[in-house]
This record gives sequence, C-alpha cells and structure tokens, in this order.
Amino acid sequence: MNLMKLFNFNYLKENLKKSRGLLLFLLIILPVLNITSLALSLVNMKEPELLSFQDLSFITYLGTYIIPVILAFLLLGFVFKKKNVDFVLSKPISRTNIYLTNVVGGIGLIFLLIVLNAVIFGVFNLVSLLVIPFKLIIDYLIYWLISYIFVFAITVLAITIAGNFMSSLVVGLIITCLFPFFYLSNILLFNYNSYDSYITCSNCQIENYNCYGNEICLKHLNNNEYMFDFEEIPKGNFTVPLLFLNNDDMAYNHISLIKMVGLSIIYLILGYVIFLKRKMENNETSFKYEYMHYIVKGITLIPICFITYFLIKDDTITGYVLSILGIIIYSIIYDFITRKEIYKFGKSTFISLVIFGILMGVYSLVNNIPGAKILDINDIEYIVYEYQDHDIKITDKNLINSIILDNDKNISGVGLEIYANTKRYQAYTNISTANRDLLDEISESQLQKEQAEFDIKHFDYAEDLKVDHKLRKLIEDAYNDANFKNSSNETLIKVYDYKNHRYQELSIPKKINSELDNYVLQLRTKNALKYLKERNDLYLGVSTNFTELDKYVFDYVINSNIDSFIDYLENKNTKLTSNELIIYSYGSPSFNIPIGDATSFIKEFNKYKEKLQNDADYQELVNHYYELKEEDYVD
Amino acid sequence: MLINIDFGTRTPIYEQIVLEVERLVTKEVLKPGEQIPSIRELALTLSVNPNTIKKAYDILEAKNIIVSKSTKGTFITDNIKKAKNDKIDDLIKKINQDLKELESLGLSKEEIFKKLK
Amino acid sequence: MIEIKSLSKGFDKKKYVLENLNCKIDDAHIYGLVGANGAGKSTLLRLINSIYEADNGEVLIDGEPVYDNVKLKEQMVFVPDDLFFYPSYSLMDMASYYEALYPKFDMNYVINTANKLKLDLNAKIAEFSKGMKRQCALICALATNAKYMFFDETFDGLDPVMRKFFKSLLADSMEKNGTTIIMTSHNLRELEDICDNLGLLYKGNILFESDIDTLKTNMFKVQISLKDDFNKSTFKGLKILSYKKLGSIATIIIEDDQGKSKEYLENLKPIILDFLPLTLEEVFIYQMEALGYEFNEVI
Repeated sequence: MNLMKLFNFNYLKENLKKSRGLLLFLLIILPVLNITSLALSLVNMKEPELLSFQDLSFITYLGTYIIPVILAFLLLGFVFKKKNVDFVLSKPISRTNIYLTNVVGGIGLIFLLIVLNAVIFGVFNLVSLLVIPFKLIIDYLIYWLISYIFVFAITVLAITIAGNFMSSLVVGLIITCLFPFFYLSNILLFNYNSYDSYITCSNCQIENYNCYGNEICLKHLNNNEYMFDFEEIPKGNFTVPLLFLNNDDMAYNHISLIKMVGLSIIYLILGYVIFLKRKMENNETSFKYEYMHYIVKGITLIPICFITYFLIKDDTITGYVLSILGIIIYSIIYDFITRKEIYKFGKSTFISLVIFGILMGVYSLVNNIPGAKILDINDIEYIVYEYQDHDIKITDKNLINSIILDNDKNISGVGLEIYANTKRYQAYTNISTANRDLLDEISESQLQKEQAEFDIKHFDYAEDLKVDHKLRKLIEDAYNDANFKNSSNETLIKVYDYKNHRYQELSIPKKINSELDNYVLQLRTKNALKYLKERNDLYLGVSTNFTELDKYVFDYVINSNIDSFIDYLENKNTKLTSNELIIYSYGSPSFNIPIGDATSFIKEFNKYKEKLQNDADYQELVNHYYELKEEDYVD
Repeated sequence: MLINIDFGTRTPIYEQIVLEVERLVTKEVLKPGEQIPSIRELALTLSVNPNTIKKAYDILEAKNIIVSKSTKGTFITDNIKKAKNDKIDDLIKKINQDLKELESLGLSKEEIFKKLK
Repeated sequence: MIEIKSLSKGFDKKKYVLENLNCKIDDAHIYGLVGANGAGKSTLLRLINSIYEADNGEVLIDGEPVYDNVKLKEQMVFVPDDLFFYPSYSLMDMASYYEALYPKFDMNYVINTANKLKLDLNAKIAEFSKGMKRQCALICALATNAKYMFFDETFDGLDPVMRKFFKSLLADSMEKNGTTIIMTSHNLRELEDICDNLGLLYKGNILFESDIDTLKTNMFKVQISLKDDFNKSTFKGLKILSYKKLGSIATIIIEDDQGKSKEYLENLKPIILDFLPLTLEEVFIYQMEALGYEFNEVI
C-alpha cells in the first residue's frame, strides 16, 4: 500500500491556511516568551549560570494544556459544526485521509514548535553566559514533544467522542485528569491522617521477642520507639506533566514518558476508529445517547463531590444545604453548557443527586479507613540514605532490618526514604552508631564509585566560572591526580555534568594542583572585578580574620580606597594560600570576592586605614562603633 | 434566431421550440440551408436544459425541418416544401375540427363561411 | 448512472428519515427532487455525498459504492442548503481550497465568471449578501468540472436574472462534461423548467417519479357530456385518475396519450368535449390523490 495515499498534503495546507493567524501565534508564542525570559535573566549576569530541566521547561509547561488543545480544535474541530461537516466531508477526501492528515499535521506542528524552542536554547547556550547542556536540550525535546503530543492525542480523542465543543473539553479533562486526580487526592488529602504509621514485622524471627501476629510485633516496635513518621510521596510517573509538584522525579520520568507514548498511540488509534464510525448527523448535541451524557456528567461529579465531602464532613446542616444546592446548580450549568438547554430538569437533577449520595458514601468509607499505615518490614525494597548531599541507595536487607529493629539508638533524626509496595515513604528515625558507620561506609564507597564514573572530559559547568581550555585541562589533571581519591580537603570548585537526566556533581578539592587553585582564584577575582568596576551601591563585608571594629568599618574603608583595592585585586590577588578569606557583597548584585592570601590583604587593609586617619567621617564611624558597643548592640 | 419561451404555460418547452422553429421556417424567416444555433448555444441563451433542446431538435429532424451535419452544425433543410405542406395539413385539420364543432351547434357550412367573411 | 439501492437512514432508533429508498438517475440528466421540509431531501443528498453513513442500502455510481470513495468523489460536488465559508476567506481563497482537492478544477472559470457577475474575488465572503454567497458557492462547484453535481435548494436567495444566468451555466456544464445534476427544492415551479425528471420525496421515500414532458403532455383534464346516460365505466378504455360527475357533465382526469384519448372520446359522440390544460402542480395533486395522499401534506 502506498503510505503517501493515506495523507493529503493539499488538504493539510488548506486546512492550516484557514487559521494561519492563530497557528502562527501558537507557533511563536513559546519561542517569544522563552527568548524574553532568557534575555531578561541575562541582564546584570556576570558569571555563567547553569539551567535545570525545570528552568528550561517552565514556559513550555504553561502551554501544555493550551497549545495542543487549540491545535487539535483548529484541525479537527470542524466536526462540531453541521455546515462545516457538509463542506469538508463532501470534498473528495476520505475520512481516513482527513483524520490521518490532521493528526500527522498536528504532530508535525508540535514537532516544529518544540524544535524551535530547543534551537533557541542551543543558541543561548552558545552565545550567552547561560549554560544549557546539549543533553539537557535533547531531554527537553523528548519530554515536551511527548507531553504535547499526548495532550494533542487526548484532545483528538475527546473531539471524536463528543458532539460539541464544550462536551469535548469535558471529556478531554476527564481523560487527562481523572486518574491523576484519584492518585493525588488519595495522597494529598486522605493520607494526611495517616501520618503516624508503623512498620511491622509479621514474620520477623527475632529470638528475644515473641511475635504472634501483627499486634505483638507492632507493640514491640512501638515500645522500642521505632515508630516512623512517614508519608507517601508521589512517584511522578503520571501521564500528565506536573512540574508544579517540584519534585525531582517529576522532571524527567521514564515511566511517565513511556506511559504517555503508549497512551498517545492508543488514544490516536481509538480516535481513528471512532472518527470513522462517527455519526456526523449527531453533532451539536453533547452525546448521541442520553446515557452517555449522564455517565460523563457522573464522572465530572467525582471531583466536585470531593469538595462537597469536606463541606459535610463535620455534619453541619449548612454544609448539607450548600452541597445539595451546589450539586443542583452544577447539574443545571453542566446540562446547559453541553446541551445548550436545560435538559430534562427533573430527571437530570435526580440522577446528579443520586450520584452525589453514592459518592458521599464512598468518600466517607475511604476516609474512615484507619489512618495509620502499616508497612511490613519484609515489604521494604530499599532505603535511601542521604550522605554528603548524595542519595545513596541501600538494598542490603540485613542492614535495613538491623536499622529498623535495632535497640541501640544513640544517633537521632536520620532522614531515610523507604521504598516499599511501589511507594516512597519519608522517615525520620534514630539509629545506632554501628549502623550509622555501616551506612557511611557503604555511602562512601558508593560515592567513590560515582566519582570514578564522572565524565570529567565532558563536564558542562564549573560552578560560577566560564570553562575555558586551560580550566578544563587543569580540572582534568586534578581529577587524574593520584591524591584526588584520598583527599578529603575543602572543596575548591564543583563541576557538573548532565547525565542520566540529572546533574551529576563532583567536588574538586583544594591543594591538589596549585596551578588550578591559583587559576580559579584569578577567574573568580575577574568575575568580582566586573561587579566592582560598575561601582553600584555595594556593601562589602567580611566574616573572619578581622577584628569587630574592622568588620564594622570594612565597607567604608574599602570604598574609600576602591581604586587601590581594585589594583590589589588585579595585580596581587593571584595566589591561593591556606590562609584565604572571602569578601561578601550584600544587596543587589550580591557576589563574593575571594582573597587568596589573607595575611597580605590585612596588611593592605591596614594601609587603607592609615590613609583615613584624618578622615572625619571615618573617625565618626569608629566612635559610633564604640557607642554601640557600650549599648551592647554589637558583639 | 429568436425564440421566445413562455415558462408559464403548460406546453412543454421542447414543444414550444418545435412550434416556433416551424413557424419561422414556414414564414421563411429561417431560410433553407441556413445554420441554426447548436444545442449548446441555444441552451445557454435560453437558459434551458440542453436535453430539452436536443429533444426539440430530434423532433425537428424527424420532421425533416432541420439536418445536423456532424461537424459543421445544424441547418434548415434545403427542401422546406414538405415542412410547409405538413404545416398546411395541420392547420386544415384544425379548421376541420372547429367546423365540426360549429356544425354540432346547428350551423350549416354555408352559414359558417358566410360568417367567416 | 447513479443508483440508489434500498437506502435507509434514521437519526434515532425509532424513526427513519429515509426508508428503503430506490432510485436510478441516468447520466447527463437533471433530476429534480421535490418535497416538503423534513421529507428527507437534504438527508438523501448528504448520504449520496458520504457526509452521513447509511444505516442500510447503498449509493452506487457506475456500479461502484460511493461512500468514502475518493476516486468517485473527485467527480462529485455538493452545494448544501446551508452554505459554509471560512470566516476570513475570499472567493479566491475558497476557490484555491477547491483547487487543492478537485483535480479538474478550473481557476480561470472562477475568475471569468466572477468578473461577469462583478463579484470581488478578494473581498471577504462573510461580508457578502445571501445571494452573492450562493453565487460564490455555485461558481466554485461548477468550476470543479465534476460529472455529478448536487444542489440543495439550488437557487435559494438568487433573483430571477441570476437564476437564469446559473441555469445557462448548468446547461453549459452539461454540454461540456455531460454533467448529471440532482437538485432539490420545496418549490415545484423552480424545478419544472430545468429538470428532465422529477421525483417526489415524501416521508423518506420517493412517492413517484416521472420525466417532466410526459407529465405535462400525458395528463389532462376533460369535461364531457354525452347524449345518453353514462358513468365511469363508459370510459374504461382510458386510464382515468379521477372521475367526478355533476349533473350531466363529468370532469375526468386522464393519464394517457392525448391524441388517442381524443379519438376515443370523439367516437362516443359527446355533446360537450373540452380538453383543459393542467398545471404541473395539478398534475401532482391528482397523482397524489391516485396514490391516496393529500397533496397539501406532501408539499
């Protein structure tokens, strides 16, 4: 079969042309907003800044439920108007052609739109201080392409099912939101009263204790204060992009993407079948059959009744009256919007109220399930332990059991994430020193492994510095230095590499390579100088190495000798010694000025002070300091 | 060729065309051998279904009033005598009918002719 | 040839709009479809043009099913009762839409015809009068050079001059392409002059159809009186649709060859014999009566 015969590009061209204005707007709105927001972020930017997936996605996310929806309506919305149906379907083009051409056309436009944004990010990465790794752009491309196509597919399906515009929006919302709604309502609302929960060991074979079923084990754990505060956390593999939950898993989630791809295909095939069978004479009313109208309305009542449930939960008469009134009004409005008439008022209202009653029963049943969640210790798959800002996955069953069942508990407040029954729980508990050491040991080796796997040759970003050849080379040398693994020194600089859809972080310690140390100092000084030379209203301060009086007058002294200070930074601040310090600039812009050798700088500072001996303002400042000191306002 | 069609009457349009052409031919407004409009032209000028014109032309051709020469077009026949005679026969027949009716009202032929003058 | 075979269509389960409709329409003919509002004229045209799918039966053109058949539909064009234009479109935009889909579309035809009618090719159609909109739709349809054209309430909104003009264009198209046309109207007069055949659609079925010239010539009204007493059986040699006797004069509607009937009646030596013409509307009334319907409820 000739595949090209399934599409009709002449038709697509004409179908797009008819709404070219709106289409053009849809295509350029995101790029324009993205360019504007990125350009605005560049104002006053002096040092490179790393963008995350969320940073990159925010504007695109806003368009997810708007752009593909409008696009689908532009392409296939003709089915809602009798006149329009007459016009399109009488033309020499088959239904298959119409559907496939529009779907492929829509996907093509989405592709164009997302690629356009990706190209813009690429350009910003090349020409501006913003660091947007190529792999991140690819992730952006894949994630939003799939999300947009997914929403497009839902809308297409909703259009083919429903008889008019409003009904298709309702159906679309149901397909999009119903399952996430169940999931989220369960987690966000009903789960709140399950805060204090237990881990049990229905089958634990601990000699010292008699475990006759749950209760005793529970008691045992409870008596030993192994009561976990835990909370179910959404895993983020929704079929809708929910960036607002601001959780790492929400950002780029494979399961979510695979679900969306699968469902998109299913929805589009389903849409095709329904489109071929669609009774074109039935447009302009919500649904062909009355019962469909009631089913859809019933489904929309699920979230509505969820709200009313909280109104009547406390058994107030007002709550009941308001709820029933609300349901009746909703019922009328829904009928009116979808059918453009008050449709069989009595019957329709009666059905709504029956559904309301049933849902109230269901919600109260669900809500009255005992709040405490009981988690069997054997169900725990793994726990995640936070070690030096890294999430370390612990899968050793014995260690897990030991941590939870151990009696000795001298270290308190350790945060753990527990994964069980495909859910994630957050727990804070006390653990023993021995277990803590064990955890640290495992974590350390895991960290070492991570370090070893870090792609030092291609890292994207070195904290606040523009990565040039020299810096890259020096960092690589430091990483390959024999001392690197054993050094537990202070961090000189952190480097980041976008890998496996998130930033991998690597700390490069000081004093592995003095050339690197000095070069970093020089680069940072250069950055700071850019701010300094603009002489904005800066307020400079230090926190160490100076006396209280010196700290108090620091800003005045430096500002009075700003030219000498700049000269010092440019010519003498080139070596990083073990005796370093940092000058902070408070306010806007805020930045740090690294000083490589504190001893030399203090000498310099004293020179500045001497110059000010005859300065009246300076003297007043000093006097003021002593006055404050007497009144105990300063330390 | 000027043909007036009365869309209001009960007489079919094709019949009106036949009668009109006959009338024009017998009065020699249309001369023997003269070309008449094609079906298409006539249909367009009269805003009439071409099938109707075709039907009229078929009848006229059967009556030997016109001939169509496949490529050149449609013409009035060279010999319109027969057509003229047919027309005369038709009219005589009509008069006879009317006479018969007058006779049935009790008038004699003489009385009728007298009155006609 | 268009062949409609036991076509049925219902909009809900109980009521059929069209029920078991059969009809054949020869090529290069104009078929007029009359019927009251709601008789199913528009539904029939929508079924033929695969806008609706039939519940039962099918529409064939040259023996091939029409439904969703692109090859055949390239030869078909439909101008519905309720016209549709994209809001911002001009006649030129509209024509290019047709051009994109109809392989034999003739853009020059549109330009020339529009110029003749003084229609602005680049003005928004939405701002046109009802009649001008109809003109635009008809021009685009005719420019497709389709072999089968379907017009619902064809001349709705056109003044007599425009009607005449578009009749000429139809005639032109028939001569050029051998176009077959189905047109509907609730007004018999409108179809009378242009159609070859007429079909009367009533409650989803074609009550009767006939070619229009036969209708006009083979049915007539006779007033007759004989010397002797007579009744209906006296005329049993003729096909009588209606017979009414008042005193000694009978009014008879005869459906037969006129010459033959005249001869037959004259042989009875009548005292009075008058042949009265029938308007097409009267023809329909008597046909309906013969079939047992009240004319007023049909049209």
